[in-house]
Amino acid sequence: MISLENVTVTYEKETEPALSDLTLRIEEGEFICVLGRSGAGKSTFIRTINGLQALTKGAVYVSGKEVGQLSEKETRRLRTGMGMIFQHFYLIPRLTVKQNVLTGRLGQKKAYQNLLGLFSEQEIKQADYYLQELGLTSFADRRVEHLSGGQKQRVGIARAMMQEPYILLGDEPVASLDPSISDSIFRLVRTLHEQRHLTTIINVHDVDLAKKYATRILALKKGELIFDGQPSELSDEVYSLIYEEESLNNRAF
Amino acid sequence: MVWFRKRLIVYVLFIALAVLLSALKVELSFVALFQLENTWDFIQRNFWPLRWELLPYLLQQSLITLSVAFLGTLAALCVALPISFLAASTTSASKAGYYAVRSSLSLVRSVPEIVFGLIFVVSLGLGPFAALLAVFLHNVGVLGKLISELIEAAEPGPQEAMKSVGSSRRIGQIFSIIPQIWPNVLSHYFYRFEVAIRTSLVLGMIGGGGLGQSLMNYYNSLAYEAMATAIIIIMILVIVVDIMGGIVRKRVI
Ligand SMILES: Nc1ncnc2c1ncn2[C@@H]1O[C@H](COP(=O)(O)OP(=O)(O)O)[C@@H](O)[C@H]1O
Ligand SMILES: [Mg+2]
Repeated sequence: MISLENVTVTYEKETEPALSDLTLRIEEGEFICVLGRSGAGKSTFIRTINGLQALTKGAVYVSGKEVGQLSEKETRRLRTGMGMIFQHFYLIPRLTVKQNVLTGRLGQKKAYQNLLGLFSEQEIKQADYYLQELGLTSFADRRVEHLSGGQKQRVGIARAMMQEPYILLGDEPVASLDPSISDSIFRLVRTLHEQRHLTTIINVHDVDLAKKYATRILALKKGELIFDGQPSELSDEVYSLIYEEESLNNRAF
Repeated sequence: MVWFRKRLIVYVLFIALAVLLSALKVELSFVALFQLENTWDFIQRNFWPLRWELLPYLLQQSLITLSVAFLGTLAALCVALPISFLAASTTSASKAGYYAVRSSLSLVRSVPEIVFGLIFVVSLGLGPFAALLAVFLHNVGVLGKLISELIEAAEPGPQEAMKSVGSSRRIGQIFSIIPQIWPNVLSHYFYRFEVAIRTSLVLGMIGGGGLGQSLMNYYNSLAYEAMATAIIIIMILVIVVDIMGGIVRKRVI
């Protein structure tokens, strides 16, 4: 359902590509974790899927449509089907938990409805449902800046779920959380993934989390795909290949 | 000393030179300083007794002054807020639009209210409406610049999150930026309101109505006790608005 064909992304003023000739298919209902050192291209990869990152070469197809060729309206439509959660949550400060969750609907409403804050009874009910589902009911009217990291990420997930997405993207959503909180966030995501048959693609630092939850693991190194397989296939050799330091020679040039 | 730099000497010399030149220009005279005594004498001899029977009339006039400042700055805020999104590099519609809007704002800002006031008093007639327009125009320029700078400094994360829920560019920006900058917007607004009260007094002196005009009339007819009464009212007015602004700011933040 998602396929990348020879995807290359080179940032302006950079010589080395951040993603280099990536070709792969992702099927509906997979739970994919993407591993890689910092700077390996994980964020860039995730952002090509919902069109936040333009490609230098190649093409990304989602449900048969080429992401880069869509009009602005079609791009927005595509994004409404993809929830995204972030390392630093990116909640809107000074709004309450519930207001933040409701912003998940902004892409699916008319401008005047958004400006006047007109949310249907159905949408309010839906927000209450996800607040409940993610254990946030008692914080509903609290401002998000007063929450803990784990609570903030749950708000982020609720906001993404408000979109009723069929794909969930995560850019290191647990990188700034404690290990036990990280695990509980992954558990929540897996529950949602199973309940809704969500295709889930998440960047992680922590190999153990990837092995525990993913159905398929990808690993990037300097923009290249160096591993694509089952969690059980991730051997120690592969592991050290992913995380090994660049040799001094390479670094000098 | 750690903070000492050779270049510092150059700066100090430069500033000293500037001080000297400016002092010559304003005909700084130490003899006149000793005559400040005369000012004190003038105040003591002419300002008392205050003419409290003028109080009801002066209060009425101060309402005019307040209204000019309030309506002028509020209207300016309403106009400047949308404009400042076009004048911020992060949210402007295009590079050309950005420069066009930004330089128009500089242009209206560069004209002091009193100049606008003089023009409107002649072209539209004496009275508070001319003063109001002058306050409005200048403050569109000032608030537009201040708010566009707040917009540029707003956290980009929430804007990215709104993009990824599929919201339109504008709606996403409004939802992710306004809540962040709102307290500072209000803070700027109240400061400009305070300034506008003093401005509208000055505009009164050139025929813009209100307390300033009363003050000028008393001055011209040598009614110094009445003038002193007006000055006291002005001081009270400015202090009260300052206190109110403080209370509102505290509530919002
Ligand atoms: N906006 C950008 N401009 C220039 N270079 C960037 C930008 N974003 C990322 N990069 C570079 O691209 C490479 C991949 O970055 P990224 O996708 O963020 O990796 P990861 O998420 O795995 O840490 C890095 O070398 C990074 O420095
Ligand atoms: Mg990253």
